Amino acid sequence: MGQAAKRTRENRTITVDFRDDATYVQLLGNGKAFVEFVGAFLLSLGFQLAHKATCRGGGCLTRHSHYVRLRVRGITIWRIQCTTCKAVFTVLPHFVLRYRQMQPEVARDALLATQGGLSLELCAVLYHISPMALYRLISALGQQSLVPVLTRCGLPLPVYFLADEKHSRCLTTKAYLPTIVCGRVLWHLGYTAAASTTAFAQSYRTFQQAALQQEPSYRVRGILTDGFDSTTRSLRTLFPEARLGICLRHAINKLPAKLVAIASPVRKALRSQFHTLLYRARQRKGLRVFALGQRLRHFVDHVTATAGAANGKRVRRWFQEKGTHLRRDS
Amino acid sequence: MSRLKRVPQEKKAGWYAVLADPQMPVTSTLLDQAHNAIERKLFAMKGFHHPKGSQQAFLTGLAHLYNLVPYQRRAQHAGQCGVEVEGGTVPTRDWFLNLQILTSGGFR
Repeated sequence: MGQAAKRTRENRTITVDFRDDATYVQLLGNGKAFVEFVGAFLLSLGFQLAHKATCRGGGCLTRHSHYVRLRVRGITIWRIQCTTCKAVFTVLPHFVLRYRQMQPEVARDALLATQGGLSLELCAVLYHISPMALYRLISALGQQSLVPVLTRCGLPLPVYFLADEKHSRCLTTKAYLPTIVCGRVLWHLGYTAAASTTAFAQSYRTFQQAALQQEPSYRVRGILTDGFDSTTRSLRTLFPEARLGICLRHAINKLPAKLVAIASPVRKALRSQFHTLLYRARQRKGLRVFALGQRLRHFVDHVTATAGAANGKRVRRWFQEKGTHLRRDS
Repeated sequence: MSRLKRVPQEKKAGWYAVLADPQMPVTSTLLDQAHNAIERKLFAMKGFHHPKGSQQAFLTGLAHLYNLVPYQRRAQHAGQCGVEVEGGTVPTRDWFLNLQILTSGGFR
């Protein structure tokens, strides 16, 4: 008879704001008041507890068991249990970090310094902790995926978003960070060792799956990329119904590279004209798609006249690639 | 008729897609801002890489910080984090407490 695989426990820790240490200590002596305080806090947040899948709710919470965190001033931590599904939740007071001895004030300052751009080493020196402790603290925060956290904050899943990859280095090897951003919020930040379509698709799929888990009817309408092949192909595979656009700023920045063997003022003038063209096309309300095609053709004629036939041909080919190479039938 | 219908369909990708849909973002400026912010931390964490490291968890942790730490003190969105700027609500006024509550794992 085979041994059954060991089931991993689900993290059902909830952090509760008890205002101060004294209130927490006072509530520890009164079980009913403790549970009521936790219930009131949950109501004020408006969040649901992560009960077991079979639980239909309607049950109440009761104190379950407790243990002592010896390394954190010997503080007592209580667990509460749902009377219906028997799920047990660890109630962590706000002044204790999960599995960590670090003081929250120290963690707050160190994280703020890290977020501000200070290196882990310098943060560690400033706040008298080890750099690895800070690294582990950030990694512990990262155990929760981004999509559930953001939807818990009431943000709708992004219908239009920006997707791109960041090239970085992991010691001597290259690493890529596929990223999804909507406005000022990061919805996905992955890590892959290769820049292939498969690797990116795998990374973006984690976002897609998390989003579908939150909202099964989730559909993406538009995605903006910089035109990198692996990114566009992987996104086309995952979101076949979405429109894939290419960033206009990247286009403006790439134009000068297409214009060779001409004087710098001419190149700058053409770049400026191209910028105006895209800006005006964007400002127009109706029939912009057709207007853009016509304007691009005129611009190519202008390039041919001012910068020579070779440059004109190169720019024309580039425009054609950007306009048509992402066709669904190709 | 089929050809006429097909022409606009074929031009929906690339630059055309950006201009055809008013809600579509035009430039990737906001994404570049996020990348620049993350880049500084990646440079800082160079010594912490190893093949079996928890890079993904670390990056997700950084992304939580990026979303939940207020990033302006005097400008239009002073004292607000990215989530609030985008119309979301955070549990409390304290960003660190928000971070603790939202990443604690016991909430649905």
